[in-house]
Amino acid sequence: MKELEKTKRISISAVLFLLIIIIGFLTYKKPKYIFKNSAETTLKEIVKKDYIVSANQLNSLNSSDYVLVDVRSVYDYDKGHIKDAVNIPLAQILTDDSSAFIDNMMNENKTVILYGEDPDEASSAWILLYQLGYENIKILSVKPRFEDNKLYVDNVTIEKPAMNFAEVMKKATSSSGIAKKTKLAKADKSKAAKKVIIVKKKKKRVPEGGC
Amino acid sequence: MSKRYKSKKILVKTEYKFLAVLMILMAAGLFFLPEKIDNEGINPEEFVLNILKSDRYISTDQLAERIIDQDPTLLLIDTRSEEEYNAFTLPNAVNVPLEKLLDEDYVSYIDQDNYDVVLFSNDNYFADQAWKIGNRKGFKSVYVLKGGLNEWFNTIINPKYPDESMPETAFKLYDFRKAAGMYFGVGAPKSETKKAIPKKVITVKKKKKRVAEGGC
Amino acid sequence: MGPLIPNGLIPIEWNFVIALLIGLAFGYIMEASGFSSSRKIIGVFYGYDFAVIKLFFTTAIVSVIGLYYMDYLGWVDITQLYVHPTYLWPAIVGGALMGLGFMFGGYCPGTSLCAIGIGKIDALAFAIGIMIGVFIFSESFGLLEPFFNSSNLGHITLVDTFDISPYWIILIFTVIAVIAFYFTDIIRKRVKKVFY
Repeated sequence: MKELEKTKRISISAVLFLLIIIIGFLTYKKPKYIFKNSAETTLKEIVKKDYIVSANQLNSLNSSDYVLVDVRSVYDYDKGHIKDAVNIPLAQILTDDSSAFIDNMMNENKTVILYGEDPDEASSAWILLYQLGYENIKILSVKPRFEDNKLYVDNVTIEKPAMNFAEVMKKATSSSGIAKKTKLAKADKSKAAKKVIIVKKKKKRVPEGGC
Repeated sequence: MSKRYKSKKILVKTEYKFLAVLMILMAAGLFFLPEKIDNEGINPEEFVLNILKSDRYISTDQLAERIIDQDPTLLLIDTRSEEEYNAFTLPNAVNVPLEKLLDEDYVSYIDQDNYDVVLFSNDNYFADQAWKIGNRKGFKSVYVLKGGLNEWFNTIINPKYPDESMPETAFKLYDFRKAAGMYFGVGAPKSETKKAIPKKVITVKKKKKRVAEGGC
Repeated sequence: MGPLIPNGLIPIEWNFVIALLIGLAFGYIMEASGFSSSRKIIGVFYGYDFAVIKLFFTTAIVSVIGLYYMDYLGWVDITQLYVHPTYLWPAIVGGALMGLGFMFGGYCPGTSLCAIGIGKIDALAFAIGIMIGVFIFSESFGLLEPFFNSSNLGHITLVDTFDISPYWIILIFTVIAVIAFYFTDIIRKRVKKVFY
């Protein structure tokens, strides 16, 4: 009789095991949005920089080949936007309407050109969409500005140093050799101890095996 | 227990049969699972929330203060090209060109828990992109210098004298910036200041899988 | 989600607490299923009790099937699980030695401690034997080391070795296990009954 009880216990635990898995499947939600492109491929695409369109390049494009998308907030969009631009705020890219719209544009072979408050905002949307697998997307390197009820669209050159830093630094440091300041620097020098920073690689923690 | 078998002459009890069939069915069931879809790193919904937040930005004033305080948890990363890095960079910055961000040798600078990593570039475009890529991969405690080096030069190196009409805080800020600029060598001969800021030597260890010992 | 500790969901400081809890459960279940009896364990060599084989096969099947389902459901990341590196020849020699000790002593290291817990003298002798063995091994480790570290095949699994889908391996393994249960049962019934 004892043995029978044991098998019953085994059966009960087996059923529990099965139940857990079934419950797991019932509660399993298929992720709605999937990153199709890995961070690595996205990075490669970013470095190529051919996704950036300047305002001049935009004028030379055939207007039926692209659609402008404004990723700023609805408020900013209502105040003023580039002609024929469609508004999809960055926060609402992952909604059914927005993805349906972008899918439509992709099917029609239109290039989606994003612009935002600055190229950073547009690039946020671009990185998101590119990783989601949309490849026919570009950004417009502009900075819209609203003045006197009129919208100005300034072209922005991305990552352009405002000055020659090394040159400016040289000038700034050699401009006046005040004795006081050199003293200060000397004092600094004496206490300038070498500091060693060791960047530890993040290790995957591995549990120890056992019997 | 063998008594039971002898007397009843059943080969296998139904419970055991049930268990055996269950196990085989479950093993076979693995074949019928639809293809697994999974996101590497964080999922898109979370990513959108992260890029909408602006708490990744650190201002030039905050950064200057932390450098002057010699904050040991600060790690500056220059995401510009090597030539630009060699021409000028912030004190103790490490050069990680954007295109090499995820290379094995460089990724360990960004993907770690020990430092507050501050990314910077000429403006904050590259640095911001590097941050977004890192965020997707789930890297923590990474920040972006708002405005980048352009902003750095406009505020710390060449601060604008505030108008008389401006509040007192503006003047205080100006004083701070002026003093900070001095720390970074404005107005002092270059050779003297070169060593004023303690040099950090940053060494990276190659990733090694730890061999764990197990036993019975 | 999982594995919990490597992913930082449970701080690593909890390691020992969790180890203690799992250890308690392990010991309790082992004793409850009669594994503190050397006769039960040794039965597998004489053919009157195959509980040991059943136990190991069942644990393997249940955990592998469970883990793969959990991996699919996103509860556990199977690629993050620790795979012990395979040292082929040392493992074979070590396994043979352990099997011999198992047969002579009637315990495996874990069950001997479990049996000490319920006060068995032979288990105590067995545990002292383990310690003597550990001592001898440690002292002669300098000599054994080249062999100890030889033929390291790395962190390989059956999936890497046979290069087929893990699902096939699981199914084949399950079928083999069920067949093994069936035949060991037949053998057990033919062998003279032993009371223990």
